[in-house]
Order: sequence, then C-alpha cells, then structure tokens
Amino acid sequence: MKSNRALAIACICSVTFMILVTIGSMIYFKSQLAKSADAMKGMEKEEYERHYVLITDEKNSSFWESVYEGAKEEGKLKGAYVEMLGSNLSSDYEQKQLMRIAIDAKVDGIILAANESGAVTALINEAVREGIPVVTVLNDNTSNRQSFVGIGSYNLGKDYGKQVCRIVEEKSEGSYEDGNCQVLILMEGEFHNTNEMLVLGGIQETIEQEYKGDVSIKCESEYISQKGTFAAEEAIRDLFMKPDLPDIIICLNELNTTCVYQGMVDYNRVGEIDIIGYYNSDSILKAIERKVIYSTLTIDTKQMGRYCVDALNEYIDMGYVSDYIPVDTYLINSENVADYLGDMAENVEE
Amino acid sequence: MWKNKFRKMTLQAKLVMVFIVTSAILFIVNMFMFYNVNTIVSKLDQIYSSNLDLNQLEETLKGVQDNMTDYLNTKSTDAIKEYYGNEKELQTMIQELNSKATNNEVALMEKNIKNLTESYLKLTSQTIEAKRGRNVEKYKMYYDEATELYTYICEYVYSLNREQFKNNSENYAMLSFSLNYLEMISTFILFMVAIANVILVIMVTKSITNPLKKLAAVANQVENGNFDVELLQVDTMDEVGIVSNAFNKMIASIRSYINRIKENMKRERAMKEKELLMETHLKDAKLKYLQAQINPHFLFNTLNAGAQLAMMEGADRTYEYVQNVAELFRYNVKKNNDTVTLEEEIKLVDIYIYILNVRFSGEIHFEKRLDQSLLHAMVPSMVLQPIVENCVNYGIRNISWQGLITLSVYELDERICISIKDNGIGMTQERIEKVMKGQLKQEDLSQDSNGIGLDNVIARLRLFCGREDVLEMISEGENKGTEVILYLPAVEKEF
Repeated sequence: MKSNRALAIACICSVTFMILVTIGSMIYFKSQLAKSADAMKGMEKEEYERHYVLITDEKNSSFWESVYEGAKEEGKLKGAYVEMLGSNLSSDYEQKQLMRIAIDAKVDGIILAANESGAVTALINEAVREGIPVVTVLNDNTSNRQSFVGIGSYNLGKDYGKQVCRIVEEKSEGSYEDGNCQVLILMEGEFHNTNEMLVLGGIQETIEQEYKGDVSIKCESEYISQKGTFAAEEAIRDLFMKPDLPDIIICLNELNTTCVYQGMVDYNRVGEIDIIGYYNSDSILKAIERKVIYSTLTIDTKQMGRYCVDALNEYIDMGYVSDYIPVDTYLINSENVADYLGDMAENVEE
Repeated sequence: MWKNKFRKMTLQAKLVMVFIVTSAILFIVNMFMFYNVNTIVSKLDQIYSSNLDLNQLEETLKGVQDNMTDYLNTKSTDAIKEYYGNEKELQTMIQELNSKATNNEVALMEKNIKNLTESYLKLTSQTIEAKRGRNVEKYKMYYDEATELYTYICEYVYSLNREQFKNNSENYAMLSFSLNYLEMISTFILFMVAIANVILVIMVTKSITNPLKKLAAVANQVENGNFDVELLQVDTMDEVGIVSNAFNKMIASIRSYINRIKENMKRERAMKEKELLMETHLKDAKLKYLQAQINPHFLFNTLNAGAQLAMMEGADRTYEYVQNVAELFRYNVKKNNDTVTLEEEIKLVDIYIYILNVRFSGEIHFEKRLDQSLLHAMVPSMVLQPIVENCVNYGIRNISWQGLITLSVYELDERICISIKDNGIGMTQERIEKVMKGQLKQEDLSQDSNGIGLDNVIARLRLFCGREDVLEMISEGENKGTEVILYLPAVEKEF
C-alpha cells in the first residue's frame, strides 16, 4: 500500500517535472523571442495623425540635425511625425526637387529652409494651393508661406556688429596696419538674400553707432556659393590664397564657420584673423575653447524646430498663424564656452 | 479512485499506460518545437516577401511608363491596352502599401511611394488624355512632369528596397540566432523529458518486479521447509497479484493439512500410551496380588514353628519336610535377585525335588553328575530352579513312565555347562524356537509356577554373561525328553 502510494506520488512528480520543464522553457523562449522581435528593425510602428517634412539643403549639418530633433520631439508630443525628407534616399536631391516630391507625396505640412530663388517661390505657392501649409525656417522666401520661424536678421547683424566693436577695442591700436580694420562677411548663395542684406545692414549700422575709436573699420562681403558639392569649402580656401587677408571674418552659417576655422589652422593664420562664427557645433565650441574662433552666435535650434511644428499645427487647427516667429539667439565666447562644452559632454553621455 | 484503478490494472495495461504517457509527453514537446520552428520560418518568409513585392511594383511602374512613352510615340492600341493593364495592376498594388503617417521609416517611405504613385498615375492619365485631344504642348508638359515623378518614385522604390534589405539582413541574423537558441532549448527539454521518462519507466517496472522478487523469496523459504512464513501482501490485482494470492492460499492449505496430520498422530500416540498403561497396571496388580499372597518371612517363620512342633511331637519326616519347605522360602527371601554359588543353586534344586517328591510320592527321580571343581562358580540366583520346574511341569508331569531328571555340571570349551535333562514328552522344534524367542503367550504358562519364566532366566543370564548364546534347548522329538544346557563363563566369579 505504502509503496503504491510512493509510486503514484513519484509518477505524478516526474510528470509534473516534465510539464514544468517544458512550460518553463516555453516561457523563457517566448520571452527571448519577444525580446528579439522588439529589437527587429522595421517592425515597430507608432501611428501619427500628421506627416510633416523638413526640407533643407544641408541635411547632415549638426545645426539642421538639431533643428530636426527639436521638431521631431515636439511632433511626437503633438501627434505629428516629422520626416527629414530625402535623408533615406540614395540620391541627393535639391531643394526644389524635394519640394516637388513633398507636394506630390501629399504630406500634411512642409518646413522649408528656403532660399530666395523663384522656382522655390513657385513651388511654395503650388504647395499652398494644394492645401499643404508651408513654414519657412531660418531663411525666408517672399511667397505665400504660412509663417517664418527664425531670427530677426537685423538683430543678428547688430549682435555681430557688437562683437566686431569689442574685438577692435580689445586690440591695441598698433595691431592694425594703417589704422584700418578689414571685416569680411561671408554670405551664402548667389543671390542677394534679403535676410543677409539685413544682417549686413545691422552690422554696419552697429559699428557706425557704437564704435568711437580711431581705427577705421571697413566692411566687405563675399558670396560663398553653397550650391554644388564642396563649393563653399573651395571658395573659402581661395580666400586664404589671396595676398591681403581681412582682420575679422564673420561667418553666417555653420559650414562656413567650420571651413574658415579649418583653413586658418591649415594656412597657419591662427591669431592673425579673428573669426566670429555661427552655431555651436562641437568643433566650433572646441575652437572657441582654443581661442581660434573669437566668438559664435547661435540660436536655440531645438526651439526653432519646436516652433516650426507648433506653427504648422496651429495653422491646420486654427486656420491662421502668426507671420513671424522669432527664435532666441545666444553669444558664445571663451568666457562661457565651458558651459556649452559641458552640455555637449552630457548629451554624448546620454 | 485513480489509485484503485491502477491497482486493478493488468501488467499489460500498466506497461501500455506508461508507454502512452511518456510518448504523449514527448509528442507534446515535439509539437511545441515544431510550432515554434514554423513561427520563425514563417517570419523569415515574411521578411523577404516585402522585397519581392517591391520588385514587382517597380516592374509594373516601369511598364506603365514605357507603355505611356510608347503610346505617345506611336499611339498604338497595343500600347494603350498594355498601359491600362499595368495601370490597373499598379493601382491594386499600391492599395496594399501603408497610407498612414508613422515613425517607422519604411512605412513612411511606403506612404510617400503610394501618394507619389497616385499623383503619377493622375499625371499619366492626363498625359494620355492630352495626347488623345492632340494638345501637343500640354501632353509634352505632362509627360515631362510624369517622367520626373517617375524617376522620384524609382528612386524611392530603390531606396526602400535597400532599406528593407538592410533591415531584413539584420532580422534574418536575429531569427537565425533564435532558431539556434530554439534548438538548444529543444535539446534541453528532450533531454530532461527523456530522463524523467526513464525514471518513470524504472519506477513502474520496479513496482511490477518487486512483488515477483518477494514471491520468489517466500517460495525459496517454503522450499527449505519453513511453512511459517509471513503471507505475501497483495496490493495489486495484476497477474503478479493473482499469482501471489494463489501462492498465499497454497501455503494456508499446506499449513492446515500439516496441522491435521499432527493432530491425528497425537491422538494415535495417546491411545497407544493408554493401552500400554493398562497392561502395566494389570501386571502391577497381578504382582501386588502375588506379593500379598506370599510373604516369605511370614511363611518361613510359620513353617519353622511347624518344624519345631513336629520335632517335639517326634514326627521326624514331617519335621524334615517342613524344614525343607522353610529352607526353600528362606532361599527365596535371601537370594532373590542376587548372585550365588552354583552349589547353592543345586542345593535349592535338591530341596525343590524333595518337596515335589513328597507332594507326588517320589515319582520324580533326580540324578546329579557334578564336577566338584566347578561348584564354586558364581551364577545368578533362581536360574536352575525355574528350569527344573519347567521340566517337571511340561516334561514329566503327565507321563506314564518313571520321570527322571538329570542334572550335570561339566566344563566344555572353557565354559561351564549345566545340563538339565528330562525324559518327558519332549518338544517340537517350533515350540523350542518360540520359547527361545520369548513368544509364548501368558496363557500358555502354568498357573502354579513361581512366576519366574524361562525368558526371564534367559534375559538375566545374557545380562550376566554379556553374550547371547547362554542357553540351548535340545529335544529329539515327542516323548524323547528335553535337555536344557546353560553355558556360563568358566572364570570364577567371586565377591
């Protein structure tokens, strides 16, 4: 009787053991499979109400990446997915081609780092006609666009002008030949961009109003073509080949800033020329730390991205949006660069 | 309930059940493995089907573009027919593409492709319309736009294909890793289940063989004659249980048979004992009776008194007779169960013959031929008298001629021979043998003997001499007398 009971218990135990082993392994395997399924690419999906595209000629610059990031984050909160149009295509398309694609792909909104060309204006107008709201960012285009998100170019010019005055005041009078200070302002594009003209005006006005010293400051501008691959870099290299170099170079975009900085290092002109740059990329910040670049003006790129998405949402929801949305600007020089470098390190760690 | 059922199961059913249970578990485990493998394989299939779909879409798109160009070039009906076929196909194809805004790049590209293709198809149909309406400028413009769009779509399809292929390669690696993983887990499960199964089978077979072993052990004990073994405990109702039960019954019945035989034997022995006891008691009673009749001292004293009386009265013959009778009793009182000299024994025979001759008026003649040198030999008492008594009672009592008893003592072959010979009726050989073997029945013996039979004499002589041939009876036939010869050891026995 006893042995029978023991046998029955042992049988039940062994069967239970088998079942437990099987079920345990099943659960373990399923969880492992689920984990790998989560890691599978192209499987996860989150649906959004709206599809916005960001169109820029410089997809890979950290400036625009930062803007895109800001826009994407804001979009995620507000139910819109922002796509950096053309980023995953194998061909590089120009702005107008991307505009064409965006219009024909019937997206819900376009964020455009516009240029002033007529073709782009026409495309903006076509998009608006098709019912696709367009927000220009950083650079405006006189068209039927719904809104412009960017910095006031005149104010930006004034900031640059102040920096020029500071540089000249800091240096002793003898350091400029003949008491002349040459300021070269590197402009984008082949057209006389309205924004850039405003910046230029701002600079010149500020210098005239604020500088009371004996040095005569002369401003010149040079157009660096951004069109065509590597055009800007080549143009800037050409600058350094010229016999008379300016005393101060003002760059109005990130690419130019980096190129000028690199050129200065390569041609061994560090200390001879003061650079006032634009944007706060890692290399620019490091250059400020090493005092190769005097200072840089930057805007809150994430905020800019956020404002773009907000503007589009506002227009679609309300039917109207304010024509100009200003974005905050900052000045970074050797005094406060440590803060920004710290931020960078933190971001990298994240 | 289940346990009872298990107990009642036959061995076959038990074995079959164990086999089925273990097989079922293995089967389930295998099914689970196959299910998982299938899931993974179908996922692998899914991965590459998306690439295939895209390639088809590209083909059809190319067809539409080519047909449109062909139509614009030739305006042929074949081209327009094919165009419509491809257009329709393309329409259905793009219906399957994702149309929602998502954060998934691939899905988003699908959405763009879908919308671009829709716009493209709208443009191509406008182109065809314009061509039909011979609006040369318009259809050229539409054609250029459509072609531009066509290149964008191709670019998109190509990029999407590349993107998917990149993802799929990673996914494939992941899934193939999962497959390897599954293999490992499957091996582990099968291994564990196999071990558990083996244990299960061992336990069940043990439950079958253990009772058999017990049965064999008990059977061995029984074989060695131990019937008091403990009965087997029968828990199961299978074949072994049935055999064990039968064995138990067998042992029980063997035990009861043995008990019955033992009882019978006991009863028989008791009865025999009783019979013997009866005989002994009877003999005892007879002896006591005889003893009571003859108190030798009393008789001797009385007879002595009688002898003195006869002497005083001058009756010499009476005196002598009574004196001899008294002497006989005195000998009995004195010498019973003792060794005496041969002379004393012969004297007793003399007294006995004298008394008999007084009783029977001198009918018995008694002769002695004695070797005087042998008379001091020691012999058991009361040996010769019973033989002489036998001679008188059976030999010469009822004969018509003069009875003669001859007693001779002589030495032969270093042994003392005592011969007592009568001339009476003699004995047959059978009777002699019967007497020698002591087989004569009680009834055959005479009533008035002094109780000491011939077999008693033989037994005592054998004990005295330590050998068997102590007495010989010789008779030549009827009426030719009988001779009894005693053989005693020649060595003198002294106290």
